Amino acid sequence: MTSMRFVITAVLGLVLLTFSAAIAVEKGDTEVIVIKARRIHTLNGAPIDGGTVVIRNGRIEAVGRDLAVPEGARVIARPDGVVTPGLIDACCTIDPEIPEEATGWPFEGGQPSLWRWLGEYAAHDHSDPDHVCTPECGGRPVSSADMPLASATLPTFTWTEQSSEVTPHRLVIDSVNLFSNDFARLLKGGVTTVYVSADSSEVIGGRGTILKTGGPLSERVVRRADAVKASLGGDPSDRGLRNFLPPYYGPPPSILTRRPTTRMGVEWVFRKAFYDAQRVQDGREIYGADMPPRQAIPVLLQVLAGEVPLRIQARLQLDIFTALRLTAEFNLKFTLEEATEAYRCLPQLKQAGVPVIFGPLYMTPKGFRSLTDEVSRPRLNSPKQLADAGIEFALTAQELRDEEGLVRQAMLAVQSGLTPEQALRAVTATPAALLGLSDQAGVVAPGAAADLVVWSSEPLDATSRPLVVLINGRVVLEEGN
Amino acid sequence: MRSSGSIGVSPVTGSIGVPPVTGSIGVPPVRSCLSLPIMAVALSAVVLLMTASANGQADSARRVLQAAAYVDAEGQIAKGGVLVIDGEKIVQLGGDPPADLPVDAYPGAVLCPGLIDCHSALGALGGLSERQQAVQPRVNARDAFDRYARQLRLALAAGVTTFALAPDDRNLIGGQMAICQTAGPDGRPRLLTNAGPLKLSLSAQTFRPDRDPTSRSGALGLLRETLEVLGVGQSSSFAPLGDDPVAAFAAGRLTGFVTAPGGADVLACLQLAQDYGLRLVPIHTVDARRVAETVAGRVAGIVIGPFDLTTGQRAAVAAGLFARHGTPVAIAGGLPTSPPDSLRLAAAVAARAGLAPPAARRAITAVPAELLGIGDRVGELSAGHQADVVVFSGDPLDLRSRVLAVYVAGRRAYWAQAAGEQR
Repeated sequence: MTSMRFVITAVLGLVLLTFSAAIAVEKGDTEVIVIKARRIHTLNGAPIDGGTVVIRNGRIEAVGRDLAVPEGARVIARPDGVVTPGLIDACCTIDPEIPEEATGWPFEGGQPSLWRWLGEYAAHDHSDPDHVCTPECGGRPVSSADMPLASATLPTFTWTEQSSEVTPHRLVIDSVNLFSNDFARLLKGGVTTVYVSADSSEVIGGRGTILKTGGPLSERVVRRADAVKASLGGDPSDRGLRNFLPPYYGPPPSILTRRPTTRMGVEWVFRKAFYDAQRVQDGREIYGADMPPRQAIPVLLQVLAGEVPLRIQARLQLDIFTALRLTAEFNLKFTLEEATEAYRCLPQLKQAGVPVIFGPLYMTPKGFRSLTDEVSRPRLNSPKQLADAGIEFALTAQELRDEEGLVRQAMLAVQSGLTPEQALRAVTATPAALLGLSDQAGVVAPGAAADLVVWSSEPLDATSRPLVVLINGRVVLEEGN
Repeated sequence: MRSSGSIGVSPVTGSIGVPPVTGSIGVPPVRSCLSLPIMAVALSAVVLLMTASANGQADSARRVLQAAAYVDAEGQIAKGGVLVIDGEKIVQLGGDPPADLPVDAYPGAVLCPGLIDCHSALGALGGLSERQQAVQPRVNARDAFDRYARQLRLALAAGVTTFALAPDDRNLIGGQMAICQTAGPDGRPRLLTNAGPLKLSLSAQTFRPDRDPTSRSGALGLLRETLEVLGVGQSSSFAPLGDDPVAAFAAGRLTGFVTAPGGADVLACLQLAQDYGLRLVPIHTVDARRVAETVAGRVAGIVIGPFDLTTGQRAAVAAGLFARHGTPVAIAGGLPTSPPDSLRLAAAVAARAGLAPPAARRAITAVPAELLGIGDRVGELSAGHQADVVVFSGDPLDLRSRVLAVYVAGRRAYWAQAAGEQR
C-alpha cells in the first residue's frame, strides 16, 4: 500500500514537473540575448564570419562583427555554429490528428491521421484480385455486409470542409491542432514559420494561415486567414469525399455525389464560382448545380478584387496551363503550389510573372501523392531550372518531415545544381516575401523577428543539425537542454 | 443494486408505498397525501388535516435529520450532522433542533448534498440528436425525458438526486439541456426546468459526411456564422425568435456546455468565448496538461469525466490539474451506460489522481449546481436550499460507504432499510 502510494505520488510529481517545465519554457524570457557563432547567413547581404546577433524584446537589434555585449545579456556562444534565419515552409500541411473518439478508428495506438490512413491504403495493392480489404489496410468495404466498417475506414475528416466544392469562407486555422506533434518535428528541422495550406480535395478550398511552430500559444498565430487555395487536376475529383455505398444501397445522389469527376468538371466549378460571385454582385440570381454557398460569395469577390491572395495547386503541365488560362480570364494574380512539371512551363510562368512554391522533390512519391496519376515525370533539377529561368520560387516539403523535411529539400536541390545560397534563400527570404513578411522574417537584419537557427555546421551539410532555435527571441529548442 | 424492485415508491403508478415505519424515524404519513393525483386535491387537503391532527404534531412538515457528520459548503466533512427540514427546504443546519420534531436518526452516518450529474443521458427515451442539420437551436431535451425510466430509480438509490439531460455530441448545437430530478415532492421523478444550458459539441462526432459540417473548419465556421447572424439580429437559415436559446447564448445570458475532448477543442472554446463574450463550460475534456493554465479564469468551469477504474492516467489527472489552476471542476458520471454508482466512482478516481478530496466532493454537488445555474437551489447543505440529502454510511468518496437514505425536496425517496439493503 505504501509503495503504491509512493508510485502514485512519484507519477504525479513527474507530471507536475513536466508541466511546470513546459510553463517555464512557454513563458520564456524576453531579456537581451546575444548569439555568437562562426558564421551568420543574413540573407540580407554577404554572410558575416565571426559575427554576433543582439536580440532585444523578441526582435533583432543588431548584427555584425565585434558588437559589444549589452549589460546582463544572456550569451549563447557556439564557436562552430552557423546562424541562419528560421526556415519558412510556405506550403505546409499539418496532420489534422482527429482525436481517437472519432468513431471506430481501426488503428491502435497513436492518434489517427489522414496521412496514416492514406499511407496504409497505399501500402496494399488494392487492384490485386486476391486482396481482401480489411479495416487495417484502409480499404473500402466491398459488400453491403461490410457496411458497418464503412464509417470506420473512410477518412471522413479532412481539415477542409467537404460539404461544398467551393468553401473559401472556411479557415484552415480552425482545423489546425496547435498541440500537434508536427510542430515539434518542424522545430527540430529548423522550421520556425509555416504557411498551412488547405487540403487539395476541393476545387476552391479554405483560407490558409501563417503560424510560428513554437513559443507561447498566444504568439503562435501570425495571420489567421490568408490566401484562398484552388486545386486543379486530379486531386479535387480523386480526393473529395464520395458516396462509397454500392449501387442501389445508398441514398439518392447527395452532396457526396456532386463532385466533379474530371478535369473538365474541376475547371467548370472554378469558373462557375467566380462567375456566380460576379452575378451576385450585379444583383442577378445564381442557379444550377455546384452553386457556391452564400457565405463564399464575399470572399470570392475579394479574390476578384485582389484583396485576398489566390493560390493554385497544379502538378502537371496541362494543369499549370489551365491555371494560367483561368486566371487570365478573371485577371487574377496567383501563386502556384507544388508545380511538379513547372520545368515544362518555364517561359509561360516567366511571362505571367507567377511565383512558384515548388515541392516536394522526390524520385519515388509516397503517401497520398503516390495514389495520384500526376507523379510520373518528376525532376530533381526543377529548382535549378526555375532559378535559371529567373522565376521567383520557394521550396516546400508540404507534409514531409524529418529526413525528408524542408532542409533536406534544399539539400536535394543543391545536389541537382542549385547553389547553396539560392537554396537557402528559397527556404527563408523568398517564402517570407511571398507571405508578405519581407524584412520581418527570413532574414537576419535589425528590426526582423528574432527567429533564428544555430546549426552545428553549414545548414545544408549532410551532418548539420539545429543546436539552438529561437522564435520571437525565445529559445524554443536547445540541444542538451 | 438489487433495491429497485422492492422500493416503496413506484414511479410508474405514482401510488404511495412509503415503507412501514415505526417510531420517530418514520416518514409522517402526511407527506403521502401530497402525492395523490391532482384530481383529489380537495380530498387530500381534508386527509392532510386529519392525519396531522391524528399525529398530534404541531408542524408535521418539519423534521430533523440526525447523523454524525455532514459535507459542508467547502466540501469538507464537518462534525455535527443535524439538519432541520421544513417542507421542501432546509431551515437549519447544526445547533440544537426543536425538541418536539420527529427525528430520522442515522447514527455514525454522513449527510451529503444530493449528488448532481451535470451531463447525462438518464431517463432519455430515444435518441438525443437530430440528424438533418448540425445546428438545432430549438430542440429541448425535456422532450426526450421519460420520467418512468427504471434507471432513474437506480440513480436515486446511488444518491443522484439531480441531473441534466443533455443532447448528445453529434451536433454542433445540439439543443437545450433539461434539468431533472430523480424524485420530487411527490416521490416521482420530475423536470426541474427545461431552461438548462445550451449543448454544443466540437467533438469529431460532429463531422459527418452527409451534411454540413464535415470538418473542424466547417464546424467552427458554421458556429461563428450562427453567432454573428444572431449578434446583429439578421435572419439566417432560421429566423431567431425573441426567446431563442441560441440568441440568449450569443448574448452571454445562457451558459453553453461544449464537448471539447482535446486541447485544441478547448483552445477553440476560449477563442469563441473571447470573441463573442460567451459563457462556456468545456466538457468531457481529457487533455488537461497542455491547457490547464491557459483555461484558468476564462471559462465558467469545466466538466471532466466520466471515469471508471480503467480510465487512463492522462484523463484521470485532468480534474486535479484544472482545479489546481483555479478552474471550478465538475465531474460527470456515465449514467445510464455505466453503473449507477459511476458518479461517485468518478469523483473517487479523480481524487486518487490528485484532485483534493473537498474539491472532489464539490465536483459532484456544488460545482455542477453552479454550472447548471441552480446553485442557489441545490448542491449544498445550508438553510434555504432544497432539502436534497444523501445519507452515506461514511465519506462519500470512500467507495465502501453505502447510501442509507436519499431525501429529495424534503421527502425520503429512498431508504435502504426498507429496500432490503440492510447489512
